[in-house]
Amino acid sequence: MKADLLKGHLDLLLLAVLADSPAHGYLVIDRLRRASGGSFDLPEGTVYPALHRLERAGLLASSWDEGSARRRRVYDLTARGRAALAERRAEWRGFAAAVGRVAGVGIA
Amino acid sequence: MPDGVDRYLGQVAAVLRVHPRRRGRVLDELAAHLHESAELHGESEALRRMGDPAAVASAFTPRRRDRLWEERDRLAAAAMLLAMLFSLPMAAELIALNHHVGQSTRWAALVLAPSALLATASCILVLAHRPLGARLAMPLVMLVGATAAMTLLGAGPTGDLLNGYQQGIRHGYETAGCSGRTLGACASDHAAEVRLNFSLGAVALALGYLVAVAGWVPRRPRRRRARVA
Repeated sequence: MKADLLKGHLDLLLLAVLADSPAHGYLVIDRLRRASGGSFDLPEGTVYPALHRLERAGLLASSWDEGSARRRRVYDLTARGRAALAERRAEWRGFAAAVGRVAGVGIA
Repeated sequence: MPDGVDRYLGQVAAVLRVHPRRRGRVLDELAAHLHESAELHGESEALRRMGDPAAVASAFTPRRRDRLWEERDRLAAAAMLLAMLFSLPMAAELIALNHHVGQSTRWAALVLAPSALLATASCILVLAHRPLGARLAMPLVMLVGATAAMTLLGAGPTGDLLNGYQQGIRHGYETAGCSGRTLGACASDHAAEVRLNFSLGAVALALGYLVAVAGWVPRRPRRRRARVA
């Protein structure tokens, strides 16, 4: 899938893959790829700036994980991040349904 | 000789324009990611997946507005220190007028000193990026609030301090800004002004400081659904 199509939806996707458990950047990218069945194969360099931006907005919190062999920055949703995720999921449902209706593409 | 990952990180670092506090973190994160990816996919594939180093670096560069927002805690600390500095001449005038009318300012100083010391310590720690500075902000607000309430009510040593100030003007030790009015009326106006401005100003400043250093972020307003005719 073209990276351009994901523009504007990356925040929702990142919040969603962190909803179940915290993860470091590499794992976030891996979860995106797996959850999309390989469709979302983003340039990995675009994910880190987005994670930093979401953290600055107070939607994510991060800390260094020194426990594993390699030092990694682990990201987790904040309470505000959870609320934002719920809001964006609802927006997306409405948007996808509307596009589907106009384009004549049924959404199951 | 540097390996491909080091060369890549060097290229990112050359064009990375972020706050020095974040710079090391960005490069450390990218390094960890690239090394992990290189172990699984090989170095050249890891670098290809990461993307163009200049594009990655520029994606990290926040807009000017975001940079100011990121630095809001330190800006607030600097503003607080400046406000305290600018209030010193007024404090000196209050003390001088109290001494003229023979009123001691020792108790007022003892009441005000903890707020001043706590504010100074908090600001310096915030400027030095120490988390303790932000944790001191809430006790500071409570202390300033209590002192402001006391001053507004004219009670306790800070109330006495303003009473002494009022008497000093009434006795003609300070007449600036009193032309066209009796000294009694001028003294009463000035004291009320100082009482209100200093108390509410200190509370507003302390609250603004707390908001800035505690990392509070305003909620994004809910977007209204656009109506299409």
